[in-house]
Amino acid sequence: MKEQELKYFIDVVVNYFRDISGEPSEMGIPFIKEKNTILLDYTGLIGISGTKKGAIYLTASREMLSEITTILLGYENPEEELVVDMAGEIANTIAGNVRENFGASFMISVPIILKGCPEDVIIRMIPPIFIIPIKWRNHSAFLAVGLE
Amino acid sequence: MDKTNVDILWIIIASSLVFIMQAGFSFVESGLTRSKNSINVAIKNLTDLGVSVTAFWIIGFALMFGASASGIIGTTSFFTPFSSGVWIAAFFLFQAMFCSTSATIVSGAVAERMKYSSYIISTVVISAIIYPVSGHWAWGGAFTGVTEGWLGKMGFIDFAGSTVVHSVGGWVALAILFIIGPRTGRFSPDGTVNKINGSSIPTATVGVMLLWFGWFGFNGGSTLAMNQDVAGIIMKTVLAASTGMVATLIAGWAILKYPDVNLVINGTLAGLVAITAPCHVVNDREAALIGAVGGLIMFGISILLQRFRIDDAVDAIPVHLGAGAWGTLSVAFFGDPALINNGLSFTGQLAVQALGIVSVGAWAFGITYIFLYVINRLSPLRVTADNETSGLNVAEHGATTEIFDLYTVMDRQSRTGDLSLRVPVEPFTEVGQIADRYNQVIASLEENLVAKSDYVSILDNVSDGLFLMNRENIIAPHYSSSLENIFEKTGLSGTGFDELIKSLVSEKDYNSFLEYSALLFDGKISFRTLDRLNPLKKIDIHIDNRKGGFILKHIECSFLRIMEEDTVARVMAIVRDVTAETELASEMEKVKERSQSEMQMFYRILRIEPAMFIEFLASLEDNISRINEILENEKGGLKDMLNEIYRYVHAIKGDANLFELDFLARKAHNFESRIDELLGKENLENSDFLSLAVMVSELHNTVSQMQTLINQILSFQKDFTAHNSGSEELIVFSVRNMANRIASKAGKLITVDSKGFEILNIPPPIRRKVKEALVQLTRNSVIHGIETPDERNSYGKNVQGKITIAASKNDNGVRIIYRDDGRGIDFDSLKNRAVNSGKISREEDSSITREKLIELMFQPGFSTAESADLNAGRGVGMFLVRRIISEMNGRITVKTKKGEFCEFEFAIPVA
Repeated sequence: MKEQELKYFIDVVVNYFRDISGEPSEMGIPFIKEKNTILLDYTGLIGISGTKKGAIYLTASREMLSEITTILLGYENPEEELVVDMAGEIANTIAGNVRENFGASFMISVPIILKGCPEDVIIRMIPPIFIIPIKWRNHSAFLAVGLE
Repeated sequence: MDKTNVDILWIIIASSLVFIMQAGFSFVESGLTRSKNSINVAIKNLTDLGVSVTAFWIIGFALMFGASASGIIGTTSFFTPFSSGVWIAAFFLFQAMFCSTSATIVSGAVAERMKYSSYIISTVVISAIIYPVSGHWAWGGAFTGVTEGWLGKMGFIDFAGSTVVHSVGGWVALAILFIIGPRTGRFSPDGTVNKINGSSIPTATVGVMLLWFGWFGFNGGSTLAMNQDVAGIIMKTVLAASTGMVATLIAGWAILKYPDVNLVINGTLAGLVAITAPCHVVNDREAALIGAVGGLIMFGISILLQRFRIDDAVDAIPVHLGAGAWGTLSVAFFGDPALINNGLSFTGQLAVQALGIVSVGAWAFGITYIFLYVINRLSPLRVTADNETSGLNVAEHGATTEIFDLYTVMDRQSRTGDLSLRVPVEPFTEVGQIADRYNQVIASLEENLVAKSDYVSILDNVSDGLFLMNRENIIAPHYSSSLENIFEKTGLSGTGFDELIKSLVSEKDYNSFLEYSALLFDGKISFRTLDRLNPLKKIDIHIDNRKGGFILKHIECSFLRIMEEDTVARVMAIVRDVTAETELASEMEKVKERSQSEMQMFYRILRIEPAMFIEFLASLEDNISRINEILENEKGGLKDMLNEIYRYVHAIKGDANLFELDFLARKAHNFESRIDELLGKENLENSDFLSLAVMVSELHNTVSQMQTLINQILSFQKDFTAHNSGSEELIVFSVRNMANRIASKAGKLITVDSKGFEILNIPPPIRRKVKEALVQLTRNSVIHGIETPDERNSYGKNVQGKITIAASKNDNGVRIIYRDDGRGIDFDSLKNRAVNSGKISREEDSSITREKLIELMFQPGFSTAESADLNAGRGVGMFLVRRIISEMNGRITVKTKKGEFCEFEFAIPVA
């Protein structure tokens, strides 16, 4: 996994948060996870195949997703269902952006949304997994990249 | 009775004509009913002729014309002895024919559902009892010429039998119809009357003509003599028939809006029946009128029967009963009293005609109904529904026609789809010709079907995906099942192959295929060229499994052109799933590759005692974890984090060198370089740490590889030295190894004295740290402290430098001593370095104490070496040592004498 490729993924996510909210977002210090991985409330998992195989995911807290939902849709205190849908939308958009940048060289799957279930996630990622904290407002989401 | 030969002759001729009416009835009934019952209808007509004549001979004639008992019934001449005289013979002949006529009227009405056996019973009942008795009431005594029947005595006139013959037949038929009910399908539940078409109108019309012809004798012969009336009677008969037909035709046409052939036929017959009673006492105009009205009445009664849901298969009742009643009444309406000559007034005649109609009706209807109702309870008069459907030809007579056989087989074939059946071919018949052609059609269909099932079988079982593709890349309907398995998708016919692969391969490959496909269909390009251009020759497809992952398959596609003349009509594609083989091959490749690079690693590791190596790996993993933790926890400023990380990387490098694992040491060195770079940067950003994370992962991978290898080695190793014992050797070994390695590179001679080093004095948890510290000190000693052999020699020292390590325990904790007999600390050098690097100013220069300088020595970045290399020089060794000891809450004491020794003492408290 090269630094440049990682940077591309990170840029897609950081830019996305910045664009939809108008507020700044930035990456934290990246680190590695060997066996376990970090999962918050909701996780959007995107499978990757082709020249590189594995998966990436974005995981965020309910609060963060709630706030984003509020910004995008205007509802105060959105319900769980809506938040989950939002998670799916975000994952889709990010997958689409990733596809735009990399689609020529590798296959990007349709993303799925998971709640918890670390086994489902780990099974797709090729270790070691790079975890990059993504900071937005006072929240931290995590972008995880597990590609060969 | 005195009859002349001419009379007898006429009676005989008339009888013959009436006989022909049997043929007429047979034709009419067969023609107006369905062919599946044709045999049944015909044979009933023939049968009732024989049965009725027999019954009439046995009792009928006697009851009708025997000596009368009170005008009700005849009592003599059973088994009529007609051979006893000419007159009786002729008379019997004539009357027998009339009886048969009455009997045969019934067969038409009840056709298509009455059992043959039941019909015979009813024929016997009519001919033996019903007809003769009512006949006696009207005509009793005719044989002797003296009226004896009670109706006749009252003045009832029925010349040739409108009532006696025809209406009796009608009444009996009506009674039976009430018992057996209508034919299946004749009346729908909602009240619709469904037309049931006859099998042959031409046959029916011939029948009518025969009946008409027969009527010449029926009416003409009823004079029982050849006299002047005969010609007129016959003529009036013909006229009535004609007007009956015409009137009914016109009326029917007007009402139904089309000329119904049934009305033409039955109108004629109605006219004939109507004129039968009065023909001897009316004139020609009256005859015409009677015939016409008879036809119309027949029409009306026919509609009435349908309204009442009474199914008369040939309209026998409207004709014979309806017109018959009218004819009987018209004797009173039109009959010339002078010719009637019985003294009755108009109303009187009318009354007695009506009486006759009613009494005969009651008798005929009543007796039939009672008798046959009882018989019906014992044995149904009607055939079963199935038999009615399959037709009485088959059901009653076991007879079939070729058409029926053809139909039966065709029906079975259409229901079962069994193409192996063949219909029977009756040679030299029209149906036989049809049957023969049909068999040929079926045979060729069967052939095609068998061939088709062969192909389908192949397609279902072949393991490759086979399909045909047209110019637009559309997949044709018949393809092999494996195609669906390969692409994990069903219902592919009509889909474009390009669409199918679009989501499974990269954009680049998809576009390549589109271009390739266009070329495929260009007939001018050679096959070999095309083959080289095939982008799907060997390709990976990624099927999104909708669970955030992919199913990866390796496939090989080849495309063959199918030419039609000079153009490419279609392309046959073969898709082979080679996933299993490819995975295996690539696994083997990977193993080979891994092997080569791992060999080096392997040899290095082999030289190391496994137990020690495990210890080393654990330490390595630990360091890596620490680095990762620093990244994860983000404590302190970025620069602080970098320094922290540096320490651990340095330790890793040290360890790697210890075991002469160049590849690892190199990686660690690169890591250090990078950290240095970042430390020199003005504005550090989080993104700068990306490269570090990548390096951590690389280290990690290397560790994994080594882990795998050591596991492999271990599995060969039988003995397994204890972890603890390895430790002792590990620390001493580490020091010794480090010393030897660097010494040989630096061209120095070193020995390590570990006599006082008792490992058990050092608690296991801190051993690793102790080792790290000692190894650092060793490095420094060998590089900076200990002099070259020549130098030592010139000082009078032993050419071999000595490093002494000792470990002891006391109440406070552990006491570890490291001592080398080298130069000792060079304070001047230290001072210069400090000044040069700006750590102290020139002013402080003179007043700086040794303690201060030693403190500086322990700070990071303070190396007196010219430049850094794999072994030392970054100036962090001492800093690391200090960190290690302070982590253990220990204290360092430094003793030194210039030119003689340098000693470090660690006092580490133990809980």
